[in-house]
Amino acid sequence: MRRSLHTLASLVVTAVVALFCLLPLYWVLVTSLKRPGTEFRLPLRAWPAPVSWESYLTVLGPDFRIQHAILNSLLVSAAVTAGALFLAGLAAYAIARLRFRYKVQSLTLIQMAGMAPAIVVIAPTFVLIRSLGLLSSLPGLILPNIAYSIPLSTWLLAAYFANLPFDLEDAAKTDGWPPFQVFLRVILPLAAPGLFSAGVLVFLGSWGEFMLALTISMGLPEAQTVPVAILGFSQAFQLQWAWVSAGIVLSLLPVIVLVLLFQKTVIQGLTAGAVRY
Amino acid sequence: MAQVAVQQISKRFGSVTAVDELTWTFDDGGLTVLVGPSGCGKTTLLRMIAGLEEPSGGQVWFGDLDVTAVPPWERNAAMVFQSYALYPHMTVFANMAFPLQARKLKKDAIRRQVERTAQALGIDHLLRRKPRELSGGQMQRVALGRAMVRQPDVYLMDEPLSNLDAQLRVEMRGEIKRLQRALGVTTIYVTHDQAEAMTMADTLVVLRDGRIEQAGDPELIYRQPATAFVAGFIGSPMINFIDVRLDETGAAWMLGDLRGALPARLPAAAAGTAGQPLVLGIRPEDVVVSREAIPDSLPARAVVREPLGKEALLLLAADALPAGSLLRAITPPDLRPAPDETVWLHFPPARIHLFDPTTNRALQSTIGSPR
Amino acid sequence: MRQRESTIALVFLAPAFVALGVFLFYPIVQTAIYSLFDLEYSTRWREATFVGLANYGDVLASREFWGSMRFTVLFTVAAVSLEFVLGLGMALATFWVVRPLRGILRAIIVLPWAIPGVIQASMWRWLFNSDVGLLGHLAVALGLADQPPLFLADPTLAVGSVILAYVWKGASMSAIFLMGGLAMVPQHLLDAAKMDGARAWMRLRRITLPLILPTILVTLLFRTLDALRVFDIVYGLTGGGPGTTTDTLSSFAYKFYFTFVQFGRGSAYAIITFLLVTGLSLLYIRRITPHLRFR
Repeated sequence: MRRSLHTLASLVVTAVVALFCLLPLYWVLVTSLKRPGTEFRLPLRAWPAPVSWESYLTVLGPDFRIQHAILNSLLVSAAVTAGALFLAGLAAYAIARLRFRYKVQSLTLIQMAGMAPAIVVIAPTFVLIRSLGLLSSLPGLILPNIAYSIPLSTWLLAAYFANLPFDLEDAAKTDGWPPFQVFLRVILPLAAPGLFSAGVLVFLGSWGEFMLALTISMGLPEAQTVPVAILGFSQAFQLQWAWVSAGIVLSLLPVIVLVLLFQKTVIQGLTAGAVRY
Repeated sequence: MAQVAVQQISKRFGSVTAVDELTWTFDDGGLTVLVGPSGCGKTTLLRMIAGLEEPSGGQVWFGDLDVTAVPPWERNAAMVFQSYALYPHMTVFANMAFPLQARKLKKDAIRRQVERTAQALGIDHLLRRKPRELSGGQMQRVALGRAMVRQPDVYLMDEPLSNLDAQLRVEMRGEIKRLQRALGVTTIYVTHDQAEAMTMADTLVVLRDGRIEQAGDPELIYRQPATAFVAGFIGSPMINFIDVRLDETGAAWMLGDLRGALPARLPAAAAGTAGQPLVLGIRPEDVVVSREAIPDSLPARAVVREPLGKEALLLLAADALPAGSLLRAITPPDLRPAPDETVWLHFPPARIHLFDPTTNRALQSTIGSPR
Repeated sequence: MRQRESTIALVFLAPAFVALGVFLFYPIVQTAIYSLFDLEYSTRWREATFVGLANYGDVLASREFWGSMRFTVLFTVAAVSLEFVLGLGMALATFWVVRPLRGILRAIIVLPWAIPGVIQASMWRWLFNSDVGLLGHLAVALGLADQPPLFLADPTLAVGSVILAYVWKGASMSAIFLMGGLAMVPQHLLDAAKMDGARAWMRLRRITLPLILPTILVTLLFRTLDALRVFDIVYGLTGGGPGTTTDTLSSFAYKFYFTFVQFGRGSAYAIITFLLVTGLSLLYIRRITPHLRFR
């Protein structure tokens, strides 16, 4: 195809895809910039006039403190990522690099755990967290989420570890390193890209986790993560869509920044496991 | 039948120019080999002729037709890839039938043509197999078969033999050459192996940095390289390059105490001024090695001797040469000088090549060099 | 040496398995236990009446169960098909567009995936708003309706709305998986196909798609699994409504737990969902394994 025609067609295709993927987000942004109270005015405009930042101030203000939920989400996701990578890293290493009898079964078991729908574990988990006194607390959210993140990250990391050259352990062992040190000093640094991919995915996954967050937070803002807080907003303020939209925009900012920065990593990570076949 | 030509064709990748305003008309019905070191642009040029790369400038012609803007599936050219590029999920039959299906031929016609081509190549017993069940040589033939099955106007081959082991490679060279003769279709063949290029080419095109360095009959290029690069690239073992000077008379070259006559074919005036530095080139098989002193010869010592069966390769050091630089000479197998023995090297005037050290061009009349 | 490596492997695997055990395996078993008791407002099953499979009987006899089952299946089939086609289109587009646009397109496509489902739900609720929702007015502008339709209140439309909202994110997910597969199609095979005379459609149909078949199957598996389990979008967008028309298995079971506070029956619901999802996945995996080329 001629270069110029190809370029034109590419632009059209990109515009169509952008329309599909970005229109909802754009609309939320537009709504958030409307003056509160004017959301229901017709006709609909492509860009609000006048532009009002009032909603953002409200949402950051003392009544809602969305930044609190964002902070909670950041803390929870960071902790979950650290924990999951550590546990999954060890497990993935064992599966990919060590020789033992039940390798395939272990991996299968871990993956089957990942297939369980949240609904079948929610009730006992709730009871367990309650009996540990961790209801409405961040650790109550962090611990189960680490477990939930293990199947996916183990799978990804195992695929990644399996692709590292095989002589590494032997070389380290002949140098006299004990196995855990081999893992720590030799394998882990080399697996940094894989860990990073898996880390980004775990972070984003736990950021969006909802059912547990909803259940554990019990409506108390101290323990709410972003998804729960936003849902709460939209249900409590059925008509103040400008506020809700502002909340949505703010809560999406960290995620969007992360995704745009690491878009390549995300794609590689998600497809590494699936495409191993 | 199409006469393929490229006119002022260029390809730039960012700041890198892979092919630089190259113009050439390929032999109609002959086998032209594009040869050169990696990065010289030969594969890029081939891909532009195929239509897989769009030129940054210039045109590609098939006969009278400007095909520069024509997509590859509409040019009637077939390509054989270095990796064979056989479709792994299809049988050999399906692989060979694919181009005919693209042309919407009927099933029976397809079957007949595929079977006929497979028989001609001796692979008809493999038609039900999948590529992963084939050996390298078999895959090679299937790739050829897929190209041949639709009787294209042009064959384009991109290092098709590089992935084969040495013996198979030599065997296949001859087979491809015979096939090409029999078919009489214009074939453009890319390789980095100069021996392969020499044996297969009707016309040889030596490329360097995106330009044609020299092109023409292979033997002529071998005997009369137009530049030091061509002299060094073509021919194995590699030619010897020696820094010499023109003597006071301007009619002979000198190296230390040795004086040598200029080749007859070189007009005396063309050599240059007295005392001017030159580069002398002499191929290892042209160096005369004698155990007794002979006139007009250089004393030297054999440092290494590599027996090659029918002949031997000597690496020689001489006082007249800079320390560490060694001359290569091919000698008859029974010549075995002792390590400290002095032997005498003579460079026959008819066999030497002289190059200008600044332009690297040969001083004799340039043959086959388009610039 | 092998003995030693087995021990090390055990040590390395233990923490992960402990975590999984506590938060996944144990809860599943515990839920199964709950389902066998008559539990309302409390989870103290040791003090409750053992009712065997009575809860299951109640659930399977209820209209709502079959309703939510039917909707879940319908939803899964419709959503996965739609998002697969859209996702494939987007994935192919990323390889087809001119080089400079490739990165931009990929970034755009990945964005919907990153947005938490429930936040999306709020977003879509605003878009579907029957007074000033953008989609309603677009529908009117395009001549598809006289007034902005009641997307979330009308039972038929609500089904479509939930599917659309889910597909918006799902297409993105499918596209990402498929992009990975497409990246593995060797360029030289496509070059060969071009030289063999194949135009774009033929190359897609005869070379690209067959070569990414394993990826396609895995993508469909994951997406189907996800669709069967869907909760966030439904909870956030319609709450299962109007009535229970858009209740999925997961969302209705959640209501049992935390709205009606019936742990016994809710657990039965949850276990049934679990068996369904796992059973279907295993069947699917067994069916597609011969098509997957393991390294």
